[in-house]
Amino acid sequence: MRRRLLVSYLLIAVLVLVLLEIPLGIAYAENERSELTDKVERDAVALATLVEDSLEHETPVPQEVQRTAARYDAATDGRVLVVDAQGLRIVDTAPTGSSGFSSRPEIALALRGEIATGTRRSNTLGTDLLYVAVPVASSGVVHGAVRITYPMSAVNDRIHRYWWILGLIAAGVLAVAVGVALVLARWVARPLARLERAAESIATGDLTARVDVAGPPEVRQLAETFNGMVAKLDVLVRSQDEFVADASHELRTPLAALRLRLENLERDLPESERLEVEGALAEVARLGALVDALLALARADRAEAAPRPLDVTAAVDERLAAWSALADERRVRLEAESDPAVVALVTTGRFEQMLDNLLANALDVSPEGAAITVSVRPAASLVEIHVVDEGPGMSAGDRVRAFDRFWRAGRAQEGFGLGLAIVERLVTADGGRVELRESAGGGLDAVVTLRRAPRDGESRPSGR
Amino acid sequence: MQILVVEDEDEIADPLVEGLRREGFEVSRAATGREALDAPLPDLVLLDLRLPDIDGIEVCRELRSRSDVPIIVVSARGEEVDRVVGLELGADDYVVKPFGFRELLARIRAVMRRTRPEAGDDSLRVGTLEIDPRARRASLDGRELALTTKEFDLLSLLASDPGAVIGRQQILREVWNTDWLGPTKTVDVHVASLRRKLGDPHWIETVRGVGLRLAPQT
Repeated sequence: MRRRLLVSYLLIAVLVLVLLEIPLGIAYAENERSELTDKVERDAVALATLVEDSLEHETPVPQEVQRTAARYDAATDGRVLVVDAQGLRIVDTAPTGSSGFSSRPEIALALRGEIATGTRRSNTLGTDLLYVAVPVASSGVVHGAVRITYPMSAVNDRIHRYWWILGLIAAGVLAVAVGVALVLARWVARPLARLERAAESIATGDLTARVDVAGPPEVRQLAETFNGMVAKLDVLVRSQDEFVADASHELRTPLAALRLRLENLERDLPESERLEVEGALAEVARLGALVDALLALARADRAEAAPRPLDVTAAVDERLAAWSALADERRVRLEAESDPAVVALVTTGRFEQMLDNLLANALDVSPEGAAITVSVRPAASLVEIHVVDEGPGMSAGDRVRAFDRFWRAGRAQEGFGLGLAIVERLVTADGGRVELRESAGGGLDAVVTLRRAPRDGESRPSGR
Repeated sequence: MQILVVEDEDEIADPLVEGLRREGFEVSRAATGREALDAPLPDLVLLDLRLPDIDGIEVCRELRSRSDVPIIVVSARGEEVDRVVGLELGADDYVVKPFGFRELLARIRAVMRRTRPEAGDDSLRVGTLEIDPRARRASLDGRELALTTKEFDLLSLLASDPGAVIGRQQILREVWNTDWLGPTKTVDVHVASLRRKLGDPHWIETVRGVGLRLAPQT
């Protein structure tokens, strides 16, 4: 955000500078050149007036005029060339080999009575030359021409210097613009940064966080909308909590009343007729269990995650020790394969709950003499915990459906089929995932993937 | 023995009062927190946390500040928070709705035992197994068993009626205070561990589909 603002500000500054300075520079160069052309043209016309008489009467050019031309050359570096009507040299302040100039385009133009101006590159002088050729004429008859060639170097130097100055000004303006843009970008982004911080604390479960409504109207609008949204979310979550509490109370109270009345009734009945009431009491207990299970699922659905580093290897060993007696009774071996001290991020108590669920499932399907292998496999940023059984396994479809609420494997089992659904919700809340795969032996390979702690063994504060 | 039932809802209070009277208790009832605090001090208070006027937690605190009367908290929410709050406020035990008489009576007796230690030796003996509920200790052949809290509660429950089958639901209610522990075989895990500590798996017999029975071994 801040970078984008910065780039936009600078782009606009550069654009404005380019649009203003380039035409300015070009106009300045044009102006310098045309001023020079005008001046040289005036000089040429003045010289033409001086030599007009001599050329008209084909008399030699007076010494005085020749000296004037030489002085002009010395003062300005401008070469003066006077030719007669045939283009033959009369006066030349910087004579070269040839004496006939009628073939030069500017001379030819001037001899036809027109003024020719232009620039060309002179390789001998190594500079651009400005030339102006004017006809020497009286009463419509051209008697010859005067040409002044003038080196552009002085003008070009001035133009270059001007471009440099423009460049320096641009650099200065840009430097100031960067500073201003930085301040502006921070200023514009500040309300958004506040919004971001609020959004973060809401994501970690603090629904009381609100943003100050400040800054430009659009951001204020956004902040108001955001606050409204969070307030609604807060109400929704609260009402869900209240619903869970109310449902708890509203469902359990009549169940408790029913149980108490049934038990009172039971005592009045002769022994032989108590079986029916026992059955009804068992149903009440089952309903109570269902209420508990549904509420556990509802809580898992919005389980708050506060993952902390946990030594997964140690936790696995601890749980396997707790399960070892039951596994022994069922003649099932429990085996652990893990690296020492692998640390994953998981909310306290949740890992044990997950592992207990998976071990319970694995034990249910294990025949006598089979093994259940729990392995912890650390990867770069993740930790995989595998619970592999040697049971009959499941079809690919069942392996996916097993996570649905109330799904139960083919044979009727105790429970409501919520174990894996709850495990999935808890793992997901901690930023992990759980899936069932087919193990190499045809049984199930339940895989829980958790995030690995940033650096193993190092505790890290959760939340901020 | 005088029991005060603090419960605003008649649908619970009526059968509760009725059932407790049949068990031979003298029962009085308070429908509000105010009434409960104004009532003469009984031998035991059964206190619902959800009351129309004063929060049950406040009533509990107030009662405790006045006397050492045993308090059993009744809650519709089996959540950990309620339990901790209830017990930290000085309640002696809690039951979670929907509870039954068997469970309630077991808790009333246990609380009375704890709060009236002068009542004499009430340790249980089942064969060579000896359980002292007040000291929360169990020993086998004179050798003390290292039991966890839940293992001790489970063994006590089974030993309270040796030879009788105790249903899984009753076990869940009385040891874990719930009707549902999740599909985690928690009971089986504890039973297996208890059997291992008793040294002979036949001490605790599983009656399939019904529950568990303590079968004294020699």
